[in-house]
Amino acid sequence: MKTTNHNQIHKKLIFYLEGQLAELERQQIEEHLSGCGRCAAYLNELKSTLLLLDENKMNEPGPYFYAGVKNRIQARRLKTAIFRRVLQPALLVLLLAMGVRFGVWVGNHTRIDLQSSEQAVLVPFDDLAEEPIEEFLLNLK
Amino acid sequence: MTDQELVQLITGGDDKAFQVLVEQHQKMVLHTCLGFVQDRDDAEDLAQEIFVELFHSLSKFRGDSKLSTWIYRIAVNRSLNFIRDNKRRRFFQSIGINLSGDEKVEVVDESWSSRPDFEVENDQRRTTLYKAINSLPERQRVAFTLSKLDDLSYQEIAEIMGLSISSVESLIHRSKLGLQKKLYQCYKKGI
Repeated sequence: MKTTNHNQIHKKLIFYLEGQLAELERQQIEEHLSGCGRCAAYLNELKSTLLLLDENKMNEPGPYFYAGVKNRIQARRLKTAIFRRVLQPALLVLLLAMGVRFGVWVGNHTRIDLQSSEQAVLVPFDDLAEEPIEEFLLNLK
Repeated sequence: MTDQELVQLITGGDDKAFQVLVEQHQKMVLHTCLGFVQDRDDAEDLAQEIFVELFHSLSKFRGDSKLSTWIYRIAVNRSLNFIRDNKRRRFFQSIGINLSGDEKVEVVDESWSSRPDFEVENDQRRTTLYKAINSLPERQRVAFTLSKLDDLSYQEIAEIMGLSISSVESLIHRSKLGLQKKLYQCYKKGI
């Protein structure tokens, strides 16, 4: 067992500490650790480090935790109310004003375009000038 | 009182019922946040924000899973978002752009000089441990944190993460291997 690769042992130490190894593997590791001071020292260090994970479970919420939550809810409600009562109408008015301004701008530009472009001249088609009605009736046959 | 009854009371405007819900789950939410965030004040802030979000979205709870599972899911997502935002903020600060406008002054921690050796040693161990946990891939970190820091069963973790139990087992196994490797590297450097 003394020839067991240290790296192989290191890989299993975390599972060894959690008791997740099969009996044979556990025995092999214990045998190695009894003869290897370096791995045993690392095991102790790993154990001390992983024990720190349990510290979190001792933390309790502060005494005013619920009061804090309620305050946040009220603050958010107030923010929403301000948005609904003041900002929302203001935004709508702004949008409306921008819409009107855009409409005016589009109108002005279209007028300028119409003035600057050559207007098409509508020439009415006058049939009677080409062929008087009497001639037309005579030719009907 | 069942989860559904409690939710109905809260959505109906019963403040006492909401207080019951907060008191029942505040410890669990705080521990989950602490597992990800590691700073006590940040974790408590985050936990309170989670309950605010919960209050506003309780009407969406359909009762497909246990209420606690649903709360865990929100807590994990919010914690991960918090970490991402922090990373982004740190990145912008590192390139000289301060998004929030408030500048944090770095205070050199000299408290170690007046503390017993074992406390200083534990501080170093804690830093190494959480650095190693935080460097794990996200899903491994979530599974490991819920298992080791929140003491949840594989079944519960599978429900929270929306995975099969075998996937959770595999994630936790890989997270332990990764953690072990990183801790050993730090240990070797420290010798």
